[in-house]
Order: sequence, then structure tokens, then C-alpha cells
Amino acid sequence: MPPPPDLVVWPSTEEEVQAVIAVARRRKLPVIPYGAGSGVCGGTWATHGGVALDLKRLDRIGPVDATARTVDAEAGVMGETLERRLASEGWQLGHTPSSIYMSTVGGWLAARSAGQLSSRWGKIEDMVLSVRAVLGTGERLETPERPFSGPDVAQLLIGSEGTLCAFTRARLRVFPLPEGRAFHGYDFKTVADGLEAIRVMFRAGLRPSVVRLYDPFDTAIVGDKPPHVSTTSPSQAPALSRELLPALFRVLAPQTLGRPGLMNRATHLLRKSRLVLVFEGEAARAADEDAAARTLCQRLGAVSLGPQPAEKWLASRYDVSYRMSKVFEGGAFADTFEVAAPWERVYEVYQKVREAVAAHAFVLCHFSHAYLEGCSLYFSFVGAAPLGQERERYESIWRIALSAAQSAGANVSHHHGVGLLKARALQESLGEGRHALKMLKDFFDPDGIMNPGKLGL
Amino acid sequence: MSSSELRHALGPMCVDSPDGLYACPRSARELTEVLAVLRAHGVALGREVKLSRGAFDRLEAVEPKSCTVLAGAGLVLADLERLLHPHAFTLGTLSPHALTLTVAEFLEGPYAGLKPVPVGRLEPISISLEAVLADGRQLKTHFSPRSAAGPDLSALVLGAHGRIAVVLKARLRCLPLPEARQVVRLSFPSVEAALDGVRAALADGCCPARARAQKVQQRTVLEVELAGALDGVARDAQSLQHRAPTLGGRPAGEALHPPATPHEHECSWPAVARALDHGEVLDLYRLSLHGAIVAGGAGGLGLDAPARWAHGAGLAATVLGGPL
Ligand SMILES: Cc1cc2nc3c(=O)[nH]c(=O)nc-3n(C[C@H](O)[C@H](O)[C@H](O)COP(=O)(O)OP(=O)(O)OC[C@H]3O[C@@H](n4cnc5c(N)ncnc54)[C@H](O)[C@@H]3O)c2cc1C
Repeated sequence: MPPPPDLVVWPSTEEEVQAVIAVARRRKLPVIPYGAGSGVCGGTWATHGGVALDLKRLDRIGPVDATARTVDAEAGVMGETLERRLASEGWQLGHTPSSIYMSTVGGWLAARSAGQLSSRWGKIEDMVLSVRAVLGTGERLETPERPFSGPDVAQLLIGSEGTLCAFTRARLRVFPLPEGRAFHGYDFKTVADGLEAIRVMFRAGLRPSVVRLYDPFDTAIVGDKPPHVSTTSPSQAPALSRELLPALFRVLAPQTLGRPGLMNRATHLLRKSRLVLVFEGEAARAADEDAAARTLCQRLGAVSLGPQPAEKWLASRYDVSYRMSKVFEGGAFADTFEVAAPWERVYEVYQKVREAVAAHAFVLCHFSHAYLEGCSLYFSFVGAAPLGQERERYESIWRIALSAAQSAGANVSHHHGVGLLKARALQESLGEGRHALKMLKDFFDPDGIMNPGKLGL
Repeated sequence: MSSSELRHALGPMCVDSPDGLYACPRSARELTEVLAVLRAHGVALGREVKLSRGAFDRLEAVEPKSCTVLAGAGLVLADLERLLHPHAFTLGTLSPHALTLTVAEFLEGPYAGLKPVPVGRLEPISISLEAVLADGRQLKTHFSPRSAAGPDLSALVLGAHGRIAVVLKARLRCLPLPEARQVVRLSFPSVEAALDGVRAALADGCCPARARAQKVQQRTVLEVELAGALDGVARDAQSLQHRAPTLGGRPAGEALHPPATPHEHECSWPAVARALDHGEVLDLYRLSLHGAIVAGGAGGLGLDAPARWAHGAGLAATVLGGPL
């Protein structure tokens, strides 16, 4: 269980946030900014006790400025609420992380989140025009919008995971709801071919909103089931998946997951790699970009599967995140980790992580969040260990995987952030640059009260 | 401290020139030494001693797959652009004044090293940096397209006028050399309609190389230059033409003359609109939903010389209220 804070506070205004931080400063109490708690790196763990600063009551959304194409949203606004509200007025932010139902604007900023449509609309740091925050010094601050002279302080605060400030509000870029969407799925002979297609696509100037390339085993799991529209929450899921699947898993896990090397080798029999693309925006342009992507994929030997795989992905895109609980119920462990790398390194990172983890856990990967310069790799691993050794095995897999990824040229994180889990890896990867991070800490939070321990600060 | 003492303390890393004393480090380690000497003598870099990054004048590596290059911070952008062409790369369309700057000046100065990307966004042209912090420690950021590994430390360099860190090398994001160029010329019933048209096209994904605009009689003429892949240029032209009629736009005939003044400013869209309403002819570069770099008579952030940081504060932010 995560260590609990000593106190939870629910401020409703920026002034109240400031008052809480002022008290905490005087009493040298840790302050742990808290959005919706969906962070996966232990960023909200109160390892030193202190005050959990729950920001969800800062939940106001301003009117859309249609000329400037912006909206002001407070830090505690939940993702789904924001997108629904914008959609009701014909706009979208285009930020739809899988955790949209359980994450906040402030949490997105704090952890440099990426939504599923980021290849076109950008990550959260690309959508921000300015932020308001209360610093660890107790000062309130609003960063300027372009044009301005001097460094961009917003980019120094975004990603700080509560260690420098508590965000209270952000001005975000919005776009009209897409007039049209074009969906397409492809099967490539190999992962490498699929990666090449994405790279060439971005070089040709195409900007799909969704780009997801599944490695062969992930492709086998993604499968060819017909699309379905999910309207039920996981707790209302049918009894079959709630009870029968975990039971089945409990029986099978020790036999199969106990021998990950064997299973990983078995995946060599699978080669096909599936790519899912969605283009959106002005209808004719989306259709045109889809057609250009088709020509390009087919030139690289892909088999076109028509719109169905991408439509299916869209219909069930928030379901996937809940499936992991079945694995735990089955007595095994599973986790995901994500990194990014330039195109020169992407395939090598993929191979090295697979090789490193293969003996310890079953590993699959998909590639998403693409750029002209590279993309993100999202690994999932599933394993089992003899009773009592699960934690040790789990932690060693994490270490091995992250170290393999970094030595092959990946960064520490593309969108989940650092928290406690990757704190050591971040500090090591920064080298002497860690002093720059410490300098920011000393400048914005001289008493060291803000979320101590996270990012290794 | 006298300049001869400084000269002596800096040894061979120091060069006399008609406009003063220059420190000319050839490596990050030498720059660290320079900073240590200056610190020990209570001298600020840039005042009694200026910094020359002339030794960092090479194109060090070209990464063809990620479309990136590692360039010394002392390279002039126009020269770098020429060096890129044999590799079929370009930095994209930079404004005339930006082209005269070194990589360091472009990144650290008021341009803040920003370039436009599709959907009307801006991003740093540098994907990673090698810099030396004021205390002499090195700062190397990771070569990855995006990161969630803490704050973006390159923001200590970009636009910071070298006051927090000094850049020595940068890995820059390039584009493939354009296969095609096309000029789309449209006229609109008002300045607002013309600029709405531009913003709508930008949001659609159109990423123009540059544009020229002027009010001619009762209409506002917009000349947009597109560059890129063959079908990409056609798509961008279509985006512009698709948006135009709903805003009262129609094809226009005659080309506009260039602006009288070459001075460059970073302008918001309302500032662009005001200048056009005053009858100015403007050249627009780095077009994004934030605004544009404008050559011509427009008001905004002056780009010809380093300006004071916003609000004169330690960092470019407005402090709304002190600690309670
Ligand atoms: C099932 C699932 C799917 C996910 N999918 C995605 C995805 O697609 N993309 C993605 O990017 N992430 C994803 N995540 C991770 C997580 O949702 C993101 O990191 C999200 O940004 C966290 O938001 P939150 O409001 O829940 O923050 P929290 O978990 O409450 O906090 C995360 C960190 O931010 C800090 N923080 C929170 N609010 C503030 C604030 N106002 N000011 C300063 N610091 C603050 C906290 O101190 C902590 O360090 C997923 C997580 C889960 C569980």
C-alpha cells in the first residue's frame, strides 16, 4: 500500500492553494499535489507524510475564445469533463489519454502526458499557452504567452510532478471538432517494415492523429474480433470476464508465465505486425492523407485491412487499461513502461528490451506517438514468480528493461513521467545536468517542501 | 581588474579584437575553465569578456533517418543551410534576419529557436543540446523526440540570452528539401477574414513556408508560399482554397511588393491585424496559431537585438502575489 499522507486538503481557489503552501512552508510539511491519482510512477505517494493537496475542486472551465482558439481550465478539471464540455461547443483539445476518465489537467501538466491522438495534436506541453501555479516559495505565478522575451518558464514547470509548484490553471489551445475521420488498418510482414512506413509517412508530411503499430504478439492479441462499442464500466462487465477469465488465468499462469523464455521464443513464429491509423480534421484533407498513407504502406508491402481495425480500436480504446486487473486476479503480475527514441534507435531499443526481459517475463510492445524524428515504445510485460518472490522478480524486470532501453538509446519516459519509480534512472541519465534540475528546485522550492523524493529531488 | 590581468588569467583561450576581449574555448571543458577564471575575478561573461563560439563551427553529424543534424553553436544558419543541401535536408524557411544568426544566437536570443510544425504549433528546432551552465557544469539533454522525464531543461537555454547556460552544440530538427513550391494568392473582404483564413488553414495542417499580406483598396491580399513534398504542397493549397470562400476569399491576381522595412518582430495575430489595417505590407514567417515572425512595420517583440526579459523578473513570468 502507498504510504498515506497525514492530511488531505481540498482547496477551491488559487488563494486557498497559496494559503495551504504558506502553512506548509512555515511548518516544513511536505506538500503532495494530487490530481486524480492515476499516475503510474508513485508520484503521489506520501513517502515523507505531509499534506495531500487534492486539486479536484479547482474545476472551473472558462468559455472558449473562438478567435484565439483557446480555453482556460483549472487544474482539477477531469479530462473527460473537459473534452465533453468542449465538444458540446464544437471544439476539442485533442488530448485523450487512456486515463481520460481518471486524470486531471494539472496531472497532465505535471507528468507531461500524451493523449492517444498526440501524433497530430501534440502532447500536453504542445497544447499549453500559459500556466498559473503556486510555487514552493508560496508565490503565485502566471507565465506569459508568446511573444515574450526570456526563457519559457512554463516549460520549466511542466513535467515537474509537483516538486516545484502546484498548477492551478492553464490556457490551452483548442481545435474545432474534426469534420471527418478516415480509418485504416494494415498488416506488415515485420515490425521493421511497419516502423519504416510510419517514418516515411511523417517525412512525407502526413500527420495521422492515431498511429499504433503492434508487434507480432500484440497483433495476435489485438486480433480480428468485430468492433464493439463499450458503454459499461469495468465493474459492470459481464460475469464471464469478471470471474471466469481470472479463474482460467490462475490455472494457466504458473504453467505459461513461469516459462517466459519459451513463450517469448514462440512469438518468433508470429511475424505479422499491425498498424492502425486514423486521420482527422477537415474531411477532404483527412481522406486525402489516408489515401497517401495507403499508397505508401502498400509500397512497403503492407496488406490493407480497410477501416475495420482502426474503427475497432476507436470503439474500445479506453477498455484496454482495465484488463490488467485480470492478470493480478490470476496471481501473476503485469506492468507497462514507455520510452521514446529517435528513428535510428527505435528498432534496437525494441530488440534489446525484448532480449533483456525475455528470460523473466512475457513481453509485448506497441509503437505510438510518432514524430518526424522518432516515436514512443510502449512495452507490456506479464510474468509470474514463485510465491513470495513476485516483488523481487517484478522489480528486477523493471530495472533490466529500463536499463536495456536506455543503453540502446531510449530516454527515461515519453509520457508516464518519473515519480519514484524512475527517479534513479532520471538522475543517472541527466549526468551533470542533474545540477540544473536541482538549481530549479532551489529556485522554485527553496524549503524543499514540494513532493519530496519525486524525480530524485 | 584590468584587461591585461584578465588576458593573462585566460591564457591562450583569450583573443583580443577591435571590439574587445574574447574568450574562445574549443571544448566544454575549456568553457568551464573560462567561467571559473571569470568567477574567480568577479567578471561577468559578456561584459569585459565576450564569448566566441567560433571553434564550434562544424556540422558534426547527420542522422538521415530522424532528419536531425548535430551542429556547432558557432555556425551561421545560412552557412549551415548550405551544408545541409547535399544531404537533401533544410532547416525550413527561416526569416532573412534569422539566417544571419549563429545557431547559438538563434537558440538563445529572442527567436528562442522556435520553428513551426503542422497544426499551427511551434516547437524548438533543437531536439537536444549540449550546454555549459553558469556554474561551469555541463548540461546535455537527451536526443529523443519528446520526453516526460522531468521539466524540459533545454528551456534554460532557449530564449534565455545565455544568462543561465551557454549552448555549444545542438542537434537540430531538419526537413527534407522541398520537392515543390507553390504560391497561392487570395484576396479577402477584410483583414480579419484573411487572418481567420490563415488560422483555419494552419489548424487544418497547412504549414506555409512564408506569406505576404497587404490591404489593397478595400480587400486584403494574401500571398502564401508553400513548400514541401509534391502532394503535400497540393494538399496545403487545397486547405487554403477550401477555407477561403466561406470567408469571402477569392483568387487574386497581382503579386505584392516586398515590405519597405526589413526589421523583424514576433507578433501576435491581433498585432498583425493592426499593422495591416495601417496599410503596411508584411512578410510573415514561422506562421503558427500563436502569431508570426513579421518583417515590415509591425509592433511586437523586437528580434534584431536582445530585449530585456519580460517584466524584468528573474524569470520570464508574472508574479501575481508574494508569499503569504
Ligand atoms: C489505466 C491508465 C491509463 C493511462 N494512460 C495514459 C495515457 O494514455 N497517457 C498518459 O500520458 N498517461 C497515462 N496514464 C498515466 C496518468 O494518467 C497520467 O500520468 C496523468 O497525467 C496523471 O494525472 P492525474 O490527475 O491522475 O495525476 P496524479 O496521479 O494525481 O499525479 C501525478 C503527478 O502529478 C502531480 N500533480 C498532480 N496534479 C498536480 C497539480 N495540479 N500541480 C502540480 N502537480 C500535480 C502529482 O504530485 C504526481 O507527481 C495512465 C494511467 C492509467 C492508470
